[in-house]
Amino acid sequence: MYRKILNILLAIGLVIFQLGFISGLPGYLDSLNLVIIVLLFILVLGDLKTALIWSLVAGLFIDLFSFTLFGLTLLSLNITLFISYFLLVGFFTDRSLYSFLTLTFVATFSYEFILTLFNFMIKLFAGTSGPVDSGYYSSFIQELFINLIAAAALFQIVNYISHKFKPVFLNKEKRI
Amino acid sequence: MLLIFLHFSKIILPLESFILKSLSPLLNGMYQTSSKIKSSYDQQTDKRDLSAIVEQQNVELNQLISENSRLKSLEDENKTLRSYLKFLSTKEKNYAMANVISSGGIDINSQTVLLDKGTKDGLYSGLAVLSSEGNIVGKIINAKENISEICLVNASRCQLAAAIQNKDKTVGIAQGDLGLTIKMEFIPQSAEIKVGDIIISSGLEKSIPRGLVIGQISQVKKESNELWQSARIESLTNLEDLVVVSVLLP
Repeated sequence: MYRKILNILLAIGLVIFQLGFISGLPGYLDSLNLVIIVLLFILVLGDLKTALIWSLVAGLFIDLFSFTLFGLTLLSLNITLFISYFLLVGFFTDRSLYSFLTLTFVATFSYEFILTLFNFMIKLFAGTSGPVDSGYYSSFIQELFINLIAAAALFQIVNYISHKFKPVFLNKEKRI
Repeated sequence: MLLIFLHFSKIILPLESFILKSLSPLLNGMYQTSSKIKSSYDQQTDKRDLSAIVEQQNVELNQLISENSRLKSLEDENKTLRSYLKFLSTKEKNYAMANVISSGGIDINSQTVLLDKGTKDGLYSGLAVLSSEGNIVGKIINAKENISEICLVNASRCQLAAAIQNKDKTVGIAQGDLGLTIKMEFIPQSAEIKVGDIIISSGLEKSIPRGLVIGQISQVKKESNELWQSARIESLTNLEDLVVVSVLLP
């Protein structure tokens, strides 16, 4: 029970950090989607149940501060989480840096794609749909790029502390 | 699903309001910290020659001082004439101060800013948002009970009814350009515009009065074989440094 409450509080803290702090950072740093990266870490290091709690709480709180239809972020985050889970269980079982980066790429791409698709469909039904802003694609690439860098950095930190991930490079030293 | 149902049935509305109200100061604190980081980063990366800027600004300051004294005498004259004509005094403007709590949220395509005031404080879509210098920095596009969303003047989907302070008082629409600058298109070829002209709100929008400064023309694009000319406008306020803004109430 206490563990669940702690997870909920930490997820709320993550949303506050994402919306308040990261969104105001200079340069490309404001494109960082820390929520996705943290969710993937929890999925890889922990279990699906804990990741689901984080995703529900984060999605709910982001939706509270969002002006798109309530539930869109919640839905997009959870679909992304399930896609990542099935990829993790079925394909990226070795937990290396490369598989983690591929997972980050797929998760970021899926999240933005699902969110944009839902937004487009809502606008289509409302009769207000228009072309995507010209800055959208550059922002999208920026987010992918910065997420991959942040995921790689966090991977190295976690690997250094916990050794839960497998080492990426083969050790060339001969062991007798 | 249950949460979404509870939201739309407005059963958890008081709880949502409580959460938004209690988290807004935390978000504002976080935003202020990152805004300070952004400011110091901008100062570090700004490699312009400061002495040249100071020199140029001194010249501008002298010009402004002389213009200011001329305007003051005109203001006094205006007051006297108004009293002679028994004009009603200009209505005092009402403002609502608001803190910026997030820049764009998590949506990569939003180019918006979130404020910690909403419909409860009298804000609604279409109201003008001003910087501390009194320049218009954007307008409200969405408002919830406790928070509201503003599009900044340089955001692609932000459009403002504008007027150029030139001889002809040319009117048009100022629209954000990729979150970087503001552009004003479809200006007649006959209109005389030049770099440095001030762009103000034209007063043609319901909730935005005439005379609020939007920016200054930095580039004019005029081709003799085209019907229209266009201008690029620079905002006089640093739009990335907004922490506290005021919303002009009707």
